[in-house]
Amino acid sequence: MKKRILAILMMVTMVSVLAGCGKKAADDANSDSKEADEKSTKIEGTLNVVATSENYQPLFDRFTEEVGPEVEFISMSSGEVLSKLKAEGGTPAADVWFGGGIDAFMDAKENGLLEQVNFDAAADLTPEYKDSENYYFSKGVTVVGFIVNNEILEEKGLEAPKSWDDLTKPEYEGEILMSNPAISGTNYAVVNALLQLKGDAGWQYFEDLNKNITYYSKRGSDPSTKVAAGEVAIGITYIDGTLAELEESADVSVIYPEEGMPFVPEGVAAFANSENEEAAKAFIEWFYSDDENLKQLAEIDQKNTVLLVKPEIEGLELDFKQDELLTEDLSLFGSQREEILEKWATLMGDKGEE
Amino acid sequence: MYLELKDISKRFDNKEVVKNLSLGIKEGEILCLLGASGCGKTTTLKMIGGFLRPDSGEILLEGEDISSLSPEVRPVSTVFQSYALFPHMNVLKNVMYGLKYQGYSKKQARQEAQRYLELVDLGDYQEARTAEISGGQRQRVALARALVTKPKVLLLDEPLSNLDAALRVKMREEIRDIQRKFKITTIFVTHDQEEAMVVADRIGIMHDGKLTQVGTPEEVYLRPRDAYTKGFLGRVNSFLTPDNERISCRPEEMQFCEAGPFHGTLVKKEFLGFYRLFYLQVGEDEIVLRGDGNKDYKLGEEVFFCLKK
Amino acid sequence: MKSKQNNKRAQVRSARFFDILDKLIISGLVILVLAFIFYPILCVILRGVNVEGSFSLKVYQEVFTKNQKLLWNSAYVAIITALLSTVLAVGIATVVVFSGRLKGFLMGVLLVSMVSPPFITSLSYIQLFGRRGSITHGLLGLSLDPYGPIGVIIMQTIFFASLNALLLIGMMEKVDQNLLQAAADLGSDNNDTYFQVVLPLTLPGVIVCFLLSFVRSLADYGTPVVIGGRYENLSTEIYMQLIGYANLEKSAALNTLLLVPAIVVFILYRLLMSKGNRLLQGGTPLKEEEMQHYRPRGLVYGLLLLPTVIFYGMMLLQYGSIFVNSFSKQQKGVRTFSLEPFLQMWSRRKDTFFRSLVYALVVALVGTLIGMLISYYIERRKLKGGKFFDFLVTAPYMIPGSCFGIGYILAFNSEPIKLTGTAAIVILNMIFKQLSITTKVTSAAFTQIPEELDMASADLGAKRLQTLKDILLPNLRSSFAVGFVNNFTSAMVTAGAVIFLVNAGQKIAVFTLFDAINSGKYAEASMISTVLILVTVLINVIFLRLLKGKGGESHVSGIKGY
Repeated sequence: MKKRILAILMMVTMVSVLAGCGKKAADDANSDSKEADEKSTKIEGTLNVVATSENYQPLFDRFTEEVGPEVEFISMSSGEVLSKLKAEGGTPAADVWFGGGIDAFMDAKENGLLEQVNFDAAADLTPEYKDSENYYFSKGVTVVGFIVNNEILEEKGLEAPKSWDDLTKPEYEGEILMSNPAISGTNYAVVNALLQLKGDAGWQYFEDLNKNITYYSKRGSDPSTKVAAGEVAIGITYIDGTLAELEESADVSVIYPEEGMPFVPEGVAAFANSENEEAAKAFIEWFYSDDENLKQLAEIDQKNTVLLVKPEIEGLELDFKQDELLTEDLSLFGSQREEILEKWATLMGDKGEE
Repeated sequence: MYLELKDISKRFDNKEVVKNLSLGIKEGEILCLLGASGCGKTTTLKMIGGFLRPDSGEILLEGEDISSLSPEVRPVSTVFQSYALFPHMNVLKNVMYGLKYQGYSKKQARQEAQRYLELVDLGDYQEARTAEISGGQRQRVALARALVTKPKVLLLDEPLSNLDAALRVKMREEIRDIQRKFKITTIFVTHDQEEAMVVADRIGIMHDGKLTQVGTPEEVYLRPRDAYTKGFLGRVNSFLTPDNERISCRPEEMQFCEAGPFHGTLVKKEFLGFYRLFYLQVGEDEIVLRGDGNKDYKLGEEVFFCLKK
Repeated sequence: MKSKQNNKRAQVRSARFFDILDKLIISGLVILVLAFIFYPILCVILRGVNVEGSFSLKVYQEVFTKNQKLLWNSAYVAIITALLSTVLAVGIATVVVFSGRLKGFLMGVLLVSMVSPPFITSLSYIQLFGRRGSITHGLLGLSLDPYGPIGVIIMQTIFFASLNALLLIGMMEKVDQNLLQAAADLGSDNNDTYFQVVLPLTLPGVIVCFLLSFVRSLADYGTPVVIGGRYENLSTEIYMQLIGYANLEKSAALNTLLLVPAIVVFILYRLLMSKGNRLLQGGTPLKEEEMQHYRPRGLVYGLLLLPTVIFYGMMLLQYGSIFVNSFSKQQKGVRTFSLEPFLQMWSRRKDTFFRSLVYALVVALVGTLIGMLISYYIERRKLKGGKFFDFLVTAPYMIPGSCFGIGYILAFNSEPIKLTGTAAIVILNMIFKQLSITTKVTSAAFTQIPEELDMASADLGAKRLQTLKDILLPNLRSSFAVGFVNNFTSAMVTAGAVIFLVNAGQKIAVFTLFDAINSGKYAEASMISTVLILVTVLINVIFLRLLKGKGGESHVSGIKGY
């Protein structure tokens, strides 16, 4: 009897696997025929998207509705995407890259991993935030500031830091968390932007800051979440709507540093040689051609920085003044990356060479 | 000859374990391969069973060379020393197992297996698990399992060595009975000479990879071809006479004689019920004599003995 | 009456069929292992010596000149972790084996502790023992810094102890009861018996635990990444090179370096296990109630009991805190009961659970079968090259998961076997990553099944494959169970290897766990973990129940655990 149950269990598994495959094929066939009936302009296939978070579902749903292709997406950090692309040797498993520090996109373009996408609406986009040859675009920017845990600051009798320079004060020793700039595009932006701001004194600044940093975390979200959890007092973090949620759940405050906020555009691009090239190009074109899409994005991202990419979207307003951002030459982000990270790693005692 | 081994040899890692062995077995007889451990008897059995392939020589069954057949198609069955009963099957399933490969239907196989279990007196134990029955019963299951496939030759590898003394005596009778009942040609490997004597129609003595003598129990016991066989089968008393002549004979060929001509010192005695054993020191040698239950001697006493006429 | 002779012709025909099938299976297994283990690892090795299209050892030079500190860091943490974890495991195993009636419960916790989703356990420890840990800060008013090598050592010690303890329990249970009784009979007190009989007999197993933990510590990046702080070692560097610098060559070279200790450990493992099996062969294990009589006493027992109690305490706290987190939400530092994490999880991730479940069942069934077949051909059929084959099978388990994942992408990104982006690549990777556990357990079980059974079966007319099916497999139920549980569990909760392989269409639950953690949603991450743990334990329990039946389990038992 038990043997039989076991056999049935195995059968069910096998069948469900087969059915799973079959079902997918059937779905595809279904949607294919439906599309063909409905509208001849619709595109077939499935669009594979690599995104920075799982929140973009509604946006992708709309794309499916309006243009046709089903969207499957997965979240990955830019570093993972790059490594994976390089390992895949020119046959990427995904079609569109949605979000992630622009420096990774520059690197990818350099390595021939991106596909040129030309479309009319590209002309309306701010030139600084896109590739001049249309290999990548951006969907907004990540701005960087501080998050502090008020409870801990109080306990230690410390004032909240107001500026980047404040962070190097000796009283903050061991109280600041920053992500490793090699992992976190956000913190790479901090390093690059402050080096641009401070010129020759820049590296000295980071060496001073290093004394106060408890450690460089290997995940981008650590600074904000660990500050909220009370593990450290101060975190250098991206600022977006999720921080507002943290402010709800814990006694933390977001601080916009006085000198200005470093920022990094969040890229959008199609992968070279992808399976669904047509759908990928269609997605990018569709995305920028309708302000409704951008508004929906702003809602999902809980920030309106898409205005920097495409000024004047009706109903959206920036949460900060544009001059609160540091002045950055973004073209240096890609070209200096390797050099900066190497120097940073040597000076900051990364790789165990303390 | 029904089964014939012709000049077979087997070596493992440069050690020749069986050397040019030739042996014929008659249909329906039970032949014991007797020898000390390491003499090559189990290797020989494995070659007959098909678990080892001889390096050279032939194995003929009814004139047909079977030495290249693998065990599963060879019409020979083995009962292993450990019985090798399948622990996850009950008694009946164990016996049915081989029939599956002979084209029996499940129902036929069940009936046939039941019939054989009855024949070995295990009709009531069909559903028992093999771990729940006694050693002797396991032995009989193993026999039934082998016999039910109607092999032409049955091989028994030290089948009694896992049983206690009393059971061993009982089971050797049973094996003999079962063998007679089925009239099956059987080769029985053992290191126990008494067992061999009781069970065998003929005994083959093996020593150092060679067959030293084959014959009925009487023949090999009474007319051993060489000193090894003589010594291996039963006890040999060997001593020097006062004339410095060495005499070797079996204890039962000697008796106590008041007049001598030989004498020795009694060093040990054993009372075994209806007879006694007396151990005498004769010069450098120790010999043993059997006396009847009545006559006793004292330890240290000087005793006289002679050869029976 | 049919005779064997009459059937000979039919038998020869079916014999031919089975011979062909046998050859097909062997070649199938060889091809699978070469294609899905050897080739991907080879791709990684080659990538490490291929700098811009030509052969070069530049990367290695760099590692040995610039990154010596990493080698040292990896080595010392691995050695200390292996030592502590083995000692802890000896304590746990002893307490469990001699625990009498409590044994079922203790074993249960131990088995559950094998189901440990990545990162979340480390995070729960930070929550409990970190600067604001609910125990260290909340209860004791301390503010400890858990980040650094010590944190890594503590965490890994606890992680690895479960598997080690299961392995040792399996060995201790096999100690011949006659030996214990004989020792007692000769006037030895329980402590003497423990030190002079039980431990020496299980010593090979103890050393195996040490070696295994050593290699696992070298390959583990999850723990140091979460609580290593500024501590860096080879595996975090591999992670950094992959995620941060997208430097495949360097991470490939570092991974290749990790193969060296893996090979050494593998060779030692084979030697020790065969010795261990010899030491423990043929004994009659004691009944559970009787075991208690031979329990070590006094200070010795105290010293064994203390770490065990701490371990169990930590386990309960850890799983408790994950559970509490998953049903609560924090408002201005105050925790309240909430179903929000569950609702969020259910609405967005439910599909991924079903997918995980299906993948894991396929991996568990197929993987266990392949593993057992491989072990059969190596152990029972003694095929030529078996040892090398066995090493290949073991290698994926000993190298970092990310390496094995990247290897798959490198190997299968183009024709003839283009698998990138498919479900197959994920499932295959999971199967071959864990294969060695099944083969090791099955190999150990084979030493307990007398070869005379095979001979008897052949004698009765069965071909080798029929013997495998009818005689061997039924007696390998416990290995099948261990293989299934291990494969299923790791397919459900480990992510190292597949994180690079999973594409949009194959998102599995553990991947969404990563995502939740990376976006800082700990409550949701805890909920995902809770569901993963519950589902995994539930399926395992159901499966074990089904398998238990009235099989040959009691007669031929494989070792539990590794």
